[in-house]
Amino acid sequence: MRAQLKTAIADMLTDLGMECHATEEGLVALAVALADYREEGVALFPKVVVCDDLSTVVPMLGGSAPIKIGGGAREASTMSVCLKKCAPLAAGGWAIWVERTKDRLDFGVFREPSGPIAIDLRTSIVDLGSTDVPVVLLDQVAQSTVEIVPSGAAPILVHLTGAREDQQAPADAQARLASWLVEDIADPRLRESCGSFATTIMNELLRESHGALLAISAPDGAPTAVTADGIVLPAPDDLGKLVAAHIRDESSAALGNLLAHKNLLGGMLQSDGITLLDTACRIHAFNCFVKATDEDLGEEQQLGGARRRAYGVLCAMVDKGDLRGAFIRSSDGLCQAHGVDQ
Amino acid sequence: MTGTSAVLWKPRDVVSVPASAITPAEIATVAKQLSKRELEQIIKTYDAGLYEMGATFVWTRTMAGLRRQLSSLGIEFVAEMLDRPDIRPGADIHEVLTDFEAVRLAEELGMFGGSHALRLRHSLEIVAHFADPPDDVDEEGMTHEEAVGTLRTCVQTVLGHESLNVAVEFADFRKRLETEVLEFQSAEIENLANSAYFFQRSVCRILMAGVKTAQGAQLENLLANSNAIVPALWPGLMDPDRYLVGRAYSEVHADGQSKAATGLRSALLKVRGFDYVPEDLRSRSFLEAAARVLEAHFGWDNFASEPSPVRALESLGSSIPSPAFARCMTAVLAVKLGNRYGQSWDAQTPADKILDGVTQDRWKYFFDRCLPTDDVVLEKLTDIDIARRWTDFLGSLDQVRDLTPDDRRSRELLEATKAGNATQVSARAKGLLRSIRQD
Repeated sequence: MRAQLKTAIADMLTDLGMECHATEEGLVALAVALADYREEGVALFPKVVVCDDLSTVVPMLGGSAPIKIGGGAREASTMSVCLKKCAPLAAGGWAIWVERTKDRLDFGVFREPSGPIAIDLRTSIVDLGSTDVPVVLLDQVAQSTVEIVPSGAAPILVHLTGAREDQQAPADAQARLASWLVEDIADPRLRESCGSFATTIMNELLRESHGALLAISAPDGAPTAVTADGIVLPAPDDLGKLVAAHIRDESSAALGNLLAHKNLLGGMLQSDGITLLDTACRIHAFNCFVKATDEDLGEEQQLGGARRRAYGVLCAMVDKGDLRGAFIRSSDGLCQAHGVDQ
Repeated sequence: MTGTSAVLWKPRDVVSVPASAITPAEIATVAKQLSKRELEQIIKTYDAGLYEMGATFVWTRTMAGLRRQLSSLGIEFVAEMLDRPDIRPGADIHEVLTDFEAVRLAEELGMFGGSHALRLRHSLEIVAHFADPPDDVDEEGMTHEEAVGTLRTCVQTVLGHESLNVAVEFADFRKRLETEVLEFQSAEIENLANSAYFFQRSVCRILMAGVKTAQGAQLENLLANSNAIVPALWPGLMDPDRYLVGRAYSEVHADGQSKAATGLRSALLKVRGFDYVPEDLRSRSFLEAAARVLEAHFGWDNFASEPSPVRALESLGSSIPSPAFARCMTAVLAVKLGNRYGQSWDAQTPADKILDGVTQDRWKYFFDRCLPTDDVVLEKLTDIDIARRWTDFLGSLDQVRDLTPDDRRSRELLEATKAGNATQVSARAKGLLRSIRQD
């Protein structure tokens, strides 16, 4: 397993033009450590950005305020020291940077892109071309699962569990969910901003939840099969409108409003049952329950718990055209999305 | 740069007012935008010697017409062309655009030429001064010549046109940037890189305004053109305009506009321009405060309204973020230099405090990377009395005493300043202004 990971990282560094034995060893150590990182018993989820040109990379990723915390010889052990010193700081909008110079590795923290609709670090790095500035992002995307995202190439998913290798990458499943949530927003620029918002908040909210189940309907059709046993909002909570107001006003009131509704969605995702949203980025209902019979479910789903069985029912509704998408994040952090991509 | 500069769009012709037309009645009859009733009232007011009242009405109608026409371009475009990030989408152009800026933008878009823009700015100063005169105003008030001059200029540039369309050549060029992709390293782009600075700056602003608002194929064309044009212009761009590109990237990134961000990132990587991407919103607070100062300075009753926004700018602290430095210097220097009628005395102390906090390094940066294209400050320095104020306060400033800018033209201007030679300062400023528009 370690040899396999080392080979994959070595190939990735070669493709990026960053080949270096110490970096290779350091990234392996970081990936393993990040899979289940704890300080004083508290789980931490730091994101780590490794690059060769910090002054370009930070503004390019929409980041700011890089603060140097330390540095050392260009050796794998320096990366471990970096994680120990910086991980407690890398929360609440801060991420870790590691800059390679000829003989050294310097490290510290920087502010992630500010604002709930800004393009997140992963999306920025995935969008980079192979000839652009080389950057690598490491992030724990699920329990014991770390994603290594290089610029201009496919991410590497590292499972340190018995999870099947063919499972969907959590980030990919969340990206599909985010794209469904904005499909029916007419204005293309607002659609793009809402897509960025959905990606950012789903990444944050789903990580905080102990597991979640989402159903995505068309704007005009919340199926009663989902809402019959649930709490339906008196009027849909239109997150798209709040994003538009935030862009238009740029006031702290508009930002506060958007963040408050994001937190409300977070609370709904923490609740038991299904949260129902639509493809115009509106929340319709939460705490919804569906009855699952064995006929609705595949063999694998019949063996699962209540949430997985409910997900099976939602998938069947997607296949019948009653829903546009279904998404599950299990308590161990693994994600699956089922739906029609436009 | 060669002497044969490219001209991308030319100012349209102004309305011809015959030289023989010397009375208000003769001039006013050419004003097609005014109703018969308005014409009669203006003529009566002028004939009665109520020049302040008549000229103020003429000016107000002129600016309303100009703003109405500029609003057809879209407020986001107007904000970008004026480098005013504080103007929000959806803002009312009549509320946020000062008279000075309306004239400046119309000139840049080719709605009239430089000479007429200069006359309009003088008219603005005259009207604003006499609309709310200071205590020491001369007893004569506005003269017949000043009032008639204002009327003539307003008719020639705005009121004489049936409808004041944005210059056709400018509109065509803007449309081309949105609908066609110019070839990288083509003769056309080379031509642009050899054009007057004013055109280069305007093209950058058109591109950035479009990138922030366009969608679909239009956005793709603008991004492709940004990737071809920005690298060609970058070596000659002064820092305020480089920050404009960096700020556009920062804004589309913060707004989650992936396509626009990817396109601009590619252009910035080509020029290694990420030093010009503002770090955070702190610079924005300074930009907004500087905009308020300039708004007061170019507004009516400026002597009374300047102190408050200058104090607000000063209260933000002496460490001005780099992306906002040029704009803050323009604002503070505008207050220090005043206008042809004097300065706002109460605004001088906070303005001095701000300038005291500008280090020698930053003054050098100002002279090398900001002043050569700062047409607000340069325009003021063309007036000999204002140039004298400049030599008085700057010549005695410790931070510039041993300063030697790298930019030859700025260096010559500073040398004249230190020598207390206001005539030379004025001549150098005129030279710099010419080079912005005609190189």
